Amino acid sequence: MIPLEKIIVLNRLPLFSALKTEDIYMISTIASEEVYEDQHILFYQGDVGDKLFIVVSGKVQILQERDGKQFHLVTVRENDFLGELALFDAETRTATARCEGHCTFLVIERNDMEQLAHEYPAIAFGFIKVLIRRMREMMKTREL
Amino acid sequence: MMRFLSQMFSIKASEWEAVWYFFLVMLVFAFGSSIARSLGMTLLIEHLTGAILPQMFILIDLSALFSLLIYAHYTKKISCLHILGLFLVGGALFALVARFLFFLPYAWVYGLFFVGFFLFYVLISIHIGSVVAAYFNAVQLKRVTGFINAGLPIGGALGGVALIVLLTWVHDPAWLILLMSAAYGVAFGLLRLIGKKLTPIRSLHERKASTSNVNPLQELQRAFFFIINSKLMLYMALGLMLFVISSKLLEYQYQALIYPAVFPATKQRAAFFATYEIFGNLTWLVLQLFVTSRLIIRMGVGASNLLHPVLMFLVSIGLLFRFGFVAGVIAQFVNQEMRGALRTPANNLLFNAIPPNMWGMTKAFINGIAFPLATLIAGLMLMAIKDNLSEPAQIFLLPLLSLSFASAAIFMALPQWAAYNEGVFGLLNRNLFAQGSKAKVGKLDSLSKMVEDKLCARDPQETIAALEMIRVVKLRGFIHAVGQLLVRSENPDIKRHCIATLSAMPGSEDVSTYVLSALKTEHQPQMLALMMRTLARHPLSQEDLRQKIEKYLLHPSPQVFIETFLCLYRNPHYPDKTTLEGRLLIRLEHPELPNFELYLHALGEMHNATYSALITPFLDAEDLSIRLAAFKTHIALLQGNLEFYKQNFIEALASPAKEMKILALQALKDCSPPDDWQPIIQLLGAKDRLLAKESKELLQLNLNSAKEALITEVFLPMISVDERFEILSLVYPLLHHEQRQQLKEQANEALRQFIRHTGLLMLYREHEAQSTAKALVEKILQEIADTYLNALLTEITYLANENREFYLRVSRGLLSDNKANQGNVLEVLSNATEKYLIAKILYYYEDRPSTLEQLSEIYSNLFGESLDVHSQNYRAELLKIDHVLLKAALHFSEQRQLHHLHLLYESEDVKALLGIVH
Repeated sequence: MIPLEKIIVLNRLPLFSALKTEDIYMISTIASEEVYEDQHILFYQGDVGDKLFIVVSGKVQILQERDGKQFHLVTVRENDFLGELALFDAETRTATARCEGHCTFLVIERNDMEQLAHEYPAIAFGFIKVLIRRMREMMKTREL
Repeated sequence: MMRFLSQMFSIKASEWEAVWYFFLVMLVFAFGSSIARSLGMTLLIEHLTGAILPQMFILIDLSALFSLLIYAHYTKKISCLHILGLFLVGGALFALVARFLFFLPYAWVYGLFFVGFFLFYVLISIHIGSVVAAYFNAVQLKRVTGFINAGLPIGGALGGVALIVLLTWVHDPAWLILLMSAAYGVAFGLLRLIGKKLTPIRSLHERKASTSNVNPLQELQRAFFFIINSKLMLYMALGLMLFVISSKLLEYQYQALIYPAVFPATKQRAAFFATYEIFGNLTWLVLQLFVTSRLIIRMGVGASNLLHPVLMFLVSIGLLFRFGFVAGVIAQFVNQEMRGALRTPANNLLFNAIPPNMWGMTKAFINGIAFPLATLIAGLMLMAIKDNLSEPAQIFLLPLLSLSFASAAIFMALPQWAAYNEGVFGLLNRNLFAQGSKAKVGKLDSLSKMVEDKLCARDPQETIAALEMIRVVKLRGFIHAVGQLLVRSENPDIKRHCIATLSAMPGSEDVSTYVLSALKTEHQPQMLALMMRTLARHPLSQEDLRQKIEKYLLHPSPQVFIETFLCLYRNPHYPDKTTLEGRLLIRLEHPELPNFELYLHALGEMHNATYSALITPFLDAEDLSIRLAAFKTHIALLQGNLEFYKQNFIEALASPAKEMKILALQALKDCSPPDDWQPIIQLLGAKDRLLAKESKELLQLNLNSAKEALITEVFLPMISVDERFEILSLVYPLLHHEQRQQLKEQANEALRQFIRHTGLLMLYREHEAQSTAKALVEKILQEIADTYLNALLTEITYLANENREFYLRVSRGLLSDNKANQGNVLEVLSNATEKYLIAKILYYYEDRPSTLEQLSEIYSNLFGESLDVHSQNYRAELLKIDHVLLKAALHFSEQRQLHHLHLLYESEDVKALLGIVH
């Protein structure tokens, strides 16, 4: 994936779309492309989260284990992402993520994001605004 | 036809639909009301005689008072259009019922109709202005209000003519009451159309249903406190009272003293009134259509409100010196017609500076309380004068009194003007910035009691909140409570907050005692380090230092060692500082130690220049944290003798680490001015505000030396908005006239580029085929256009002698999607002192072009040249823009469509983004 394609992918995401293009460019410099085959486990439930995965192509099954049984929660598709809170805290993953078919991701690691946010606080601020907006929307949906 | 009307009345093409609807509502309402008013008065006097009038007026005032209380309550819950619809339907039904009541053999039904009709009339008259205001922004309202309000005199005149004609055909005039019902019904139908076709841009009611049960009286109490706390509302309420009193005094002079003397016979007087009404209403209409809006636009809302009191002042002088028929007619014209043509529209516009959800409540208070109170005062004054003074004395005293009240009204209008401008600005702030209200802190005693309770709370979060409260508010008398909590608590979060709170308290042995006590049982290195840092700020005995603290120098954690070292080293009572220094120097010989940068930092504390040689090897260390610590320590050890290293500091400004740049900027403050200011000036536009602040401080310190470089930089076209803003904050007062003119031209160019890029964006959006890069290109173009707009606003801010707050509010307001905010910004801008550029912005934003044709027309009107971007050349024009990401995105989408790339003349950065080079 060429650098511009990373920027295009990041700009399409609601998570980053409110950021300025120069900020998205900065984020693209810390985003790396990762490719996995079918059935690859991105992370297990209980792992410490330290990466944000952006699905560029393919699908990811989100599975949760309860009382010894595995439940399918949701399927994350192209132009969606998983693990955004991992960019800001080191809580454990609440579900397992498994690739369905050949998948390409853009991956951002927490350490890189922290360093970027330290150098460019405007990015962190913009990112926090987007997260808060998402949380508000989720709360509104719940109220409805 | 519409173009002709637009030019004549300064109303934009996009506004006409709403203007026509509201004009018709006004016209139909005035038509029905005019007929009902004349018939109501005639029937009342016929059946109950004129002697009943005072009682009728009292009943109208009382019923209006109670109705307005309820009105104020519901304006916050129901949309303004629905309320007006309810009033109109209510009025129509009331007229229908009244017609059937007239069949009854009771005279009181005529009194009931009279009071009921006036009640609906008052309520609709008060509310209709709010409905109109909800559909236009502050600047539009100034233009359209004159035309819309012209519906009132036209409707009134048509009603009068219709009544005269119909009276010759209809035997029983009471049947004509049904015309009021029909007119109000038609007005209601028009409202339904408005509801379907138009969208309000300001909401008067609260969208989320209020959960509080506030009764109308409490609502009124709130309105009172709102008015007391709002300068503008206070001046408006007092201004209204002064106007009403002087108006009643003038009215008494021409109605009771002048006209009866000039026209002793009733028939003569009636004929004069009929003639006056025709000419008076005609003049009002002409003024309303052709003068009111132009006057308000040219003078501004604040100044326009000064005109009517001035006119009243002048007619009072006329009456004082030439008491007679001519002065009386002019006084009546000013008092009646100019009130409708000038005072009411200008006064209604003042509500632009008040949050729309407060309009109903404040209007109810002003009209329901302030107005009747002023009427009462005027009535009592007139009764006292009439009963106690001879007519010659009245002829002298009454003009003098009206003159005094008019003067007071003028003085009230001046601060009202300032309060209005502040209010619109404040409203922008409220909408864009102040989402939460300030926390109110009650009495300190009750706060202390609450904090005490919370310190013992079971929930750790409540305890932490109480500790934070003590720390932030600096509450006294909590040392023991917090100290004991520190000693007994096992929760690390609570302990950390206890230490932070104790640390913020003034130096005290009590603090040292508690921390030393907690130190005994603590094992966590981070907590121990925090405790040491706190102890360093509080008094300690030599015995404590030796026995209780010194042993932590052996602790394996580097943080604990360093904090212990610093605690001992900074204490004047510690006797063995040489040995202490030795312990640190030994560690500095082992750069492989973990957290090595901490030892470097500690070395800086010694302020001993002889140790600087120890630092030199680490200035080029690979590890950024070590390099940074070495750099910082190096500066500290030099103790101000930095001149020799000036070039190193300038080179450090190019470092990728912002801390390094900040340290270099701080060090440069102690050096002579550098030869090249460019690297420092460019940091004014740094995204990190601390970095920009340090750079600004350095430039401020050397302004004489940096001035020329700053001025050169500010006239470069492509510097960042932040950099331009900060440069102007430094040098704007030093610019001479020609340079300020140049700045104005630069701002003009920024506006030109803003419109041009907006045009390119429109073309790209319309003609470019869908591609993966399209959204990105659109976003970049929008950002470029916004940058030009912000550059323009930056320069306007300085040219208008405004401040950063003004810039932030105006910029955010114009870039927001909210039309009411944009309207408020335009009103704020129209009040600013810079006129040339602001007139252009207003011209652009008032038209809000949505097509390229409209944009081109605005562009050629503003700049006298054609926009010259079209579907054939827009792509070539886009590629000319000097923006790496934009060029790369354009080439990328071209490659996807045409499968080839033309990158021969493109920069390496563009190629790198396209993956051609690395």
